[in-house]
Order: sequence, then C-alpha cells, then structure tokens
Amino acid sequence: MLIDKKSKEVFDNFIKLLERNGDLKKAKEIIQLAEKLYLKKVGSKKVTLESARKINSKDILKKILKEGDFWEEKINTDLIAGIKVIVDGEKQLNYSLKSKLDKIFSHRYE
Amino acid sequence: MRIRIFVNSHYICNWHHIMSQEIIEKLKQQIEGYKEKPEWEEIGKIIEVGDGIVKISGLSNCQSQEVLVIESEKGEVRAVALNLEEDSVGALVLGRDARSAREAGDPVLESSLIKSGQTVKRTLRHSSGQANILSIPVGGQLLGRVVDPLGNALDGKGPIFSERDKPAIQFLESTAPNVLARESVNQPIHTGIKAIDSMIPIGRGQRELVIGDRQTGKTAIALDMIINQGKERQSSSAKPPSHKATEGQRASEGRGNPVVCIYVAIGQKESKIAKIVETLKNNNALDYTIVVSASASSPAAFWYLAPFAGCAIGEYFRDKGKDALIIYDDLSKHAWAYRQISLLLRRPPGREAYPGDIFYLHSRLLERAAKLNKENGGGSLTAIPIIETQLGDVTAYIPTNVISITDGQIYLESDLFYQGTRPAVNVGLSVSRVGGAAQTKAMKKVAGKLRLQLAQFRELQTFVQFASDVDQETREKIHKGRIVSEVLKQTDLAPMPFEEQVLVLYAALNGYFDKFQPEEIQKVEAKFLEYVKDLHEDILDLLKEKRDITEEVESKIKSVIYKFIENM
Repeated sequence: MLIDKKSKEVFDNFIKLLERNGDLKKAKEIIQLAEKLYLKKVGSKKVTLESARKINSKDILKKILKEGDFWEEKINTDLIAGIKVIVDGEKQLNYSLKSKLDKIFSHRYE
Repeated sequence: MRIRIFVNSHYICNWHHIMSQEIIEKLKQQIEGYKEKPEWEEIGKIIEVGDGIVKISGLSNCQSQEVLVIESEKGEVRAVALNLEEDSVGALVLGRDARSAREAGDPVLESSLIKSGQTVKRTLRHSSGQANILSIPVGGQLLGRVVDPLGNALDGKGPIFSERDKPAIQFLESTAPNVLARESVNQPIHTGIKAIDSMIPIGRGQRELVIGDRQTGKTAIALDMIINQGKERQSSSAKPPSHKATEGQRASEGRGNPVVCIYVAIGQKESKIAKIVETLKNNNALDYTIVVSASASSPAAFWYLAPFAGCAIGEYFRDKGKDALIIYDDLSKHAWAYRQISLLLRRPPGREAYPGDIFYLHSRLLERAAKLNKENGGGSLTAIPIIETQLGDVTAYIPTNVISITDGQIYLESDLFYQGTRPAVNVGLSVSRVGGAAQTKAMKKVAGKLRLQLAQFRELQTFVQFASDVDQETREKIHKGRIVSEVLKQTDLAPMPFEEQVLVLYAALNGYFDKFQPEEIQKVEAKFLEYVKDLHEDILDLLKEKRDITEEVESKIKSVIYKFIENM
C-alpha cells in the first residue's frame, strides 16, 4: 500500500509520541484500538475469512463486504474444510467441518 | 477339535463384521440426519491466562455469571464470566464437560489446555436465545447421589437424569425470597442432640451457625442432624398422628413431612467425604440426602461454586413446598477460595486480604434459606453453615461476618471436648435467636430452667475450686449441676427422638436422678429409656402426639419415673 506524504508524517509523529511517553510496548494494543475506533467512526467493518486451504474467495467476499470494508484472508488448517468468517473480531460464522464434527460428537450446552 | 475352533473363529469374525457394519450404518444415519444451522456467534480472544482465571478481550454483550466456551485444542473448556470490564472480561475456568473429558480419556488439566489467543464463545440457550447463565439441573433424581457443583455425578452410579427426564434448571445465583413470601420461623427441626434441642432450638427456615476449632465435632453434629431427620420420618410414618389433630395442627408441627438434606463439602479430603457418604449409607440416611462435593483436589472455582449449587438444589425443594436442610461444611474454606479467585482477578484486597464483597457473598447465600408462607407453598430451607476457627479465635473476619448474618450459633470448644463433654457445646456462648418460637411446648416447659441452672452451676464450680469448705446447699447444687451436664452428654451418630429427650430431661431437672452419682448417669439414662420403651411406650406416643406437657401427661410421667427409681 502506498502511503502519501501526509499520512507518513502523521504516522511518524504518532510513533514519536509513543516513544516519548514510553508507550511503545503497548503499541499493538493502541493500534488495534485506533483501528476499532476508526472503523466505528466510518461505519465499516473488518472481515477475516479463514479457510483450510487457499480458495477463491471473491464470490464469498462479494456477498459479505460493503464498500469501505476491510478484509483479510487467513489459512487455518485446523478447520479441515469449509470456512470461518470473523467480523471485527467479535462475531463469527463457523462453516467449518471441524465445528460440525465437534457438534456431532460432543454434548450440547443447553 | 480343530474344526470347532475354526468354526468358532469364523463365527466370531463374521459376528464382528456384522456388528461393525451395523455401527457404521447407524453412524451414517446419524450423520446424514444431522442438520446444522450455523449462526452468528459472539466471540472474544484470550489475552491472559492465570491459575484458573482467563482474561478475554471482546465479548462486549457478555453477562455476569454467563457460561463461556473456550475452544481449546482438545475440545471445549467452559468458563464463567465474573469480571466485566470496559473492553475485557475476567472469567473463571470451570473445566471440560465431564463427559467429554472422560471420553477423551486423558487426565490433562484444563488449565494447561488453555492458551492465549484462543477463541472464546458465548453460549446462548437454544430454546430462548438468551444468555446461558450458570445453572444446574435439579430434580428428585438427585436424592441419594453425590454430585459436583455443576451437577455431574461423582458416585459412579451413572447419569443422574435419563434422556426422558426433564429436570428443572436452577440458577446458581438467584435472589432470595422477599419479605412478603416469607413467614416467621415456627416449626422445629430436631437435631436429635439433647444439648441443642433443649437450649439452642433450631426452626425450619433458620440459619444456625456451627462454629469451633478443628476436631471439635462440627461435622458430627451436622451428620447427627441428617440422620435424625430419617429417624423422625420413620417414627412419624410408622405411627400416623391421631385423627383428632386437625390438618393445620399437623402441618404446624411439621410431622410426616420428610426433610430433604443436602450436605455441601467444600475443600475437604476425598477420604473424609467418602467416609461421610459411607456413614450416611450405613445409617439409612443417604436415601433423602444429596452430597455436593468440591474436594480438596478440585479447582478453587468448584470450592467457590459448591455452596451456591447446593443452595440451588435446596431451593428447588423449598419452592416445591418441601422442607430442606442444607449444611455448608465449611464456609471458611469457601471464603479462602473466593479470596484466591478475587486476588487473581485483581480485585482490591481488604481486611485479611479478603475482597470487599466477602460479606455479601455469604449474606446472599444464607439469605436464600427461608420459611415460605402458605401462599408460596409453605416450604422451607434451613441452613447450617459451619465455620472452622483458628485457635478459638471467633473475632477473625469471616467468623464475625457469618455470626452476624446467621440467626444464632452453636459454639464448640476444644477444651470441653477434651474434658469429655461431647458434644462440646459451650452453652454460654451459643444462642438461637429465632428458634425459641419454634420449640415444641413440651421441650420449652421442661428445658426452660436448664440454661440458667447450668450457668449457675458453672459459676459455682469455678468458685468452689478455690474454697476448701463448702456448705451442704452448695454441694447439692454442684451435684445437681454435674448430673445435668452428664445427661447432656451424648455419643455421636446416636440422635435421640424428641419425646425421649423430654422424658430424660424432665427426670434430671426435677431431681429424680439426684440420688445417683454423676458417673452412673449415662447407664441410668439408658436403663430408664429401655424401661420406658418396654413397659410404658404409651407415654412416648402421648408426648409425640400432644407435643405438650399437660397436667395429665405430667402426672403420668411422674408415676413412670417414680416406678423406675423405686426399682433401681
């Protein structure tokens, strides 16, 4: 991703601020929170698509994503087959074979 | 011979083949018939793992006391949300579902399965779609069973509820009945222990603390109480109350109403729990008893939850209009577990490092013991919390808290215990604030003077220790005091029916036993009861029925005692 000059300046200043306040250790959390706040402000979401192997995800993403949404793809072999969609790290839709098998063989929580 | 073996093995192979085919078919059917509707789940991520504690980010809609599921490598591990913070949730690990852990067949501790970064899900109830608040299935099937605080059987007698049973689901944390639903304590619950039934009477719906050092017989008192409930039931069912008594009278006396007992063992040795279960079984008391066990080896989460689970079971019976008795053995260990959990959750520590809500923890638990009024079924839950003191220090934090919450305490002393006064009840420090209203009239009339007499005797005894010459009157008083204290002695596992207690105490307090030496009293008492049971059983029946000492009854008692004394 290309970063324009203004954004670069903002980032540099931000890093400097963190360094000055001794908050560099918490940078990861701060960036996550900033991302969360930004998404909330803009009104879009971040979608993570997990699958057991590389798949053609265009069709699926087309159905889920709106304009301005961010997305990321991950390979998670634990799923065995199928996909798992995670939105904003708070909601998930588990379409994997692993969860199906787990549900068949384990006791339901009720 | 060879042919036969061949045939056999061939047959077995074939049989195996058929069986495996059948199993595979069944599995296929099951899997084909399985329809799954994936739904959006609310998730969070573990950011910190501690001793039985996890910190989770996300889960913004999570409720307090909600059951969460951690997706670990080896199956799902359950946890319960305790701390709800702005952007994280502190949860207490409950462990894997007992069934899945057993099926997996590995003894790996849950805590080692949980790792930072794992996903945590909220669990919603399938029926209502509401949050799954920590609860336990309850029903009459629990009677005679040993369960853990989550309702899983621990006694190896198989599952508690069959597939067809629809057990009620009771929340572990629920609010106590309000003022309007209650009634003042008015029915006695007999412990079968003379010293308690006469001087510190306990009523149904009361909360009476049993407090004392280690090895002073606290659990023994609790066990006697449980065993006595069975004996009362037997005697009342063997001889139904006369038809003359009205329904109301019968109900108010609480006869023929079996008491369900719940024994909650918190942080005790497995061997001790096994011994208690064995004792209950040998005394035919297990049929109406439920043991909730959180043994010393179980995680602190279980120690913390056990009293609430026991109480939830008790509430089920209370709300059904039955009488229940719950024993929390003991709440000091419960407080320790809660302190551990609170400190790990980084809640600020207060006095003795206990968290600020330790009082509320016990008060909300004990408040659920109640006597409900008729409109609400008239059931009751009597709570007997036990507190173990360290070197007799009742002024420590937890003992004072629980003393102030309960409606009285039975104070046991190790000095008395070693002197041979067993049960080692310190009469001066023990009280029952509401039990007096519930005591039967007969016992009230007989034992009214007992407490005062004993107090005077104790005073004289300490005074006489320093005096060489004592006048006749004082000597007589001391002799009488010795006899009364001797009568109050009782071995454990031998609860005495209330009518026998009344007779013995009547004889002792009215001076009929004065001619015997204190050392003989135990034998005299046994002989006296034997004599009454063999020759004058009618008087016991009369006492049981009337529950009062009328002039007619008193004259009968007098004549029986007189005859016995003459024969001795």
